[in-house]
Amino acid sequence: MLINPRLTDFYGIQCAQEQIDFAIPFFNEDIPLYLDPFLLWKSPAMQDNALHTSLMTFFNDLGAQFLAGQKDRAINNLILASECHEVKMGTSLSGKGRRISKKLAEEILGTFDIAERAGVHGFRHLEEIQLLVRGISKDRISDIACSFIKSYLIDYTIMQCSSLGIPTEKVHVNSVFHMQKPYPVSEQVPLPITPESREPIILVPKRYLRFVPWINFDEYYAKSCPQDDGVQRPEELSRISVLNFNRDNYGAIQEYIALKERTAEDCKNDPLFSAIPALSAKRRLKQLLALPSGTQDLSHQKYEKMVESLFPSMFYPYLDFAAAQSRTDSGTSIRDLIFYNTASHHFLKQIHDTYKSQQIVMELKNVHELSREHVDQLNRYMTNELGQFGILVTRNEPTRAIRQRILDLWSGQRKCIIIITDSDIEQMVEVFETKQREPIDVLVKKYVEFQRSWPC
Amino acid sequence: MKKEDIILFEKLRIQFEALHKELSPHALKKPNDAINKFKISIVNNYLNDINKIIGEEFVPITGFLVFEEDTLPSISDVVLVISQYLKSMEMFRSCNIYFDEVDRCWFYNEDENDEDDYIFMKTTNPTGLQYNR
Repeated sequence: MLINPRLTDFYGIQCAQEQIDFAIPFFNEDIPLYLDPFLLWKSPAMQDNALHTSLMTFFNDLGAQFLAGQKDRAINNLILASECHEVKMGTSLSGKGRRISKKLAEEILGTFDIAERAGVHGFRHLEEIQLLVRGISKDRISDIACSFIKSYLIDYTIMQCSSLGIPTEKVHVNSVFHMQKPYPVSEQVPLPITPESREPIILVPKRYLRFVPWINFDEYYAKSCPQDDGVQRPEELSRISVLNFNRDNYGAIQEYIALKERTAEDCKNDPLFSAIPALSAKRRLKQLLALPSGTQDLSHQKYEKMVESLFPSMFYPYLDFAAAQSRTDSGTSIRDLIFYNTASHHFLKQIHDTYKSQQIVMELKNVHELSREHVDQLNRYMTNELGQFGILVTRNEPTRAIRQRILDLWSGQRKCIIIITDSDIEQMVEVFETKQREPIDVLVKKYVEFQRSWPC
Repeated sequence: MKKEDIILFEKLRIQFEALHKELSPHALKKPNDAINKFKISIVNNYLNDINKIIGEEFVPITGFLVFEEDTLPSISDVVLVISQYLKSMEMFRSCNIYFDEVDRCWFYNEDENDEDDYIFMKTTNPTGLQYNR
């Protein structure tokens, strides 16, 4: 069984996140990024601008209905739009959030009245409601935006699945908004599904995603909210009093929005993974090399933590980091790093084809000398699903007996274990800094060295 | 030797010397730094041509012909090999040039059927061991 499976890896499609236009969803957890509607607004693509216009039309239409007396219809539609679990984004572990309450929906729609009183018919940005209503978080903004443009996202998902060969099934998707219909409808469409719960998955382009919306309450509170420094200290200003102030002074919000629109050029989507800078890598390497082997002063945990922080950056973008997990084997606690094998490098493709490695497991051992037991622990873990290739990360070169043990494993079971030592990590960091080669080339070198030790 | 081989050999000798001059300071500064694939491919192209010209007899390192990209050669490895080759190339040159009363020259004949029709091409004095085969 795959560790922390992603949509593509589950279906045996080898591709790195870097190469793909959408954020690859996980089956077991959500991606901690959010769709920021501002990215649609500022995009140079007319299609994205049109999507922003559509989602604001849906939202403002609900406001107009609310003001025109069709309160129940508007509230119900907003409640339906308030959760879009199919996109699998946010911080939920279960992958399912909750819809907003009727009271909150009424409060949100009530903000149209505030805008109306300020002489504004509808909002320019969905995010403005964060500045007027309590309890609107960034994932709620993202969910509402995703719901309103769900029809487009479904088409996008179908297109991406067909180009990558991701299997789809005809499933019912609820709460799809259409311009022609007064209520969101349920549609049967071919979408990828989660294998266990059989729920539909909708893909979202990476270029729409940010960790924090460009227009957000915290920034407004810190930088733009008018505060009388002479009368009150900033810490005395509670969230509620700011919201109340905003309700009575819509002009302050308009000024903040105008400022954010002026600086739209600085608004960029956030990458799903950012490698650490070379300087940090060097600093961490120095700390790692200074650590003693063994478990004294919890140095094994520090070692694991440092390798864990270095390796995802070292092997990016060829290996996508899947998970760091602890397991127990014969009473010993073992820390593993698991990577998705994206087969995006000739070596990774070879590993995938030869050893059926869909994921690459790296076992961390902060020991002075590897023992036979350490090799056996990793060997037991190299099952059919994880493939027959593994990496032992340890401090020093193995003894001749261990090398022979690893060689015997290859001879007998065609399982391949390569050993990465401190000096290899040092070389990885060196090439990471100089950019003359890539850190993954160190893995290739170790594999070539291992190949040369094979009995003829 | 053929005229083309002599010209290629002299060209490679100059290029290899330039490469050695370029890389030596880096090798002294950071000997263990890996060398990038582009530079390795340049060195390997030169090595392939040189190996063909000088033949097995003058190949300086037994069992070594070109670098393998996958073994991540360091800059000091490359400089070491280049300097060995430069010495070996000079040995090869010294053994294949002749004194023509005034200058040291390569000689070749354009017409293979006419062994007496030698043409001379001027070169610098040998700095290595010289013997005539």
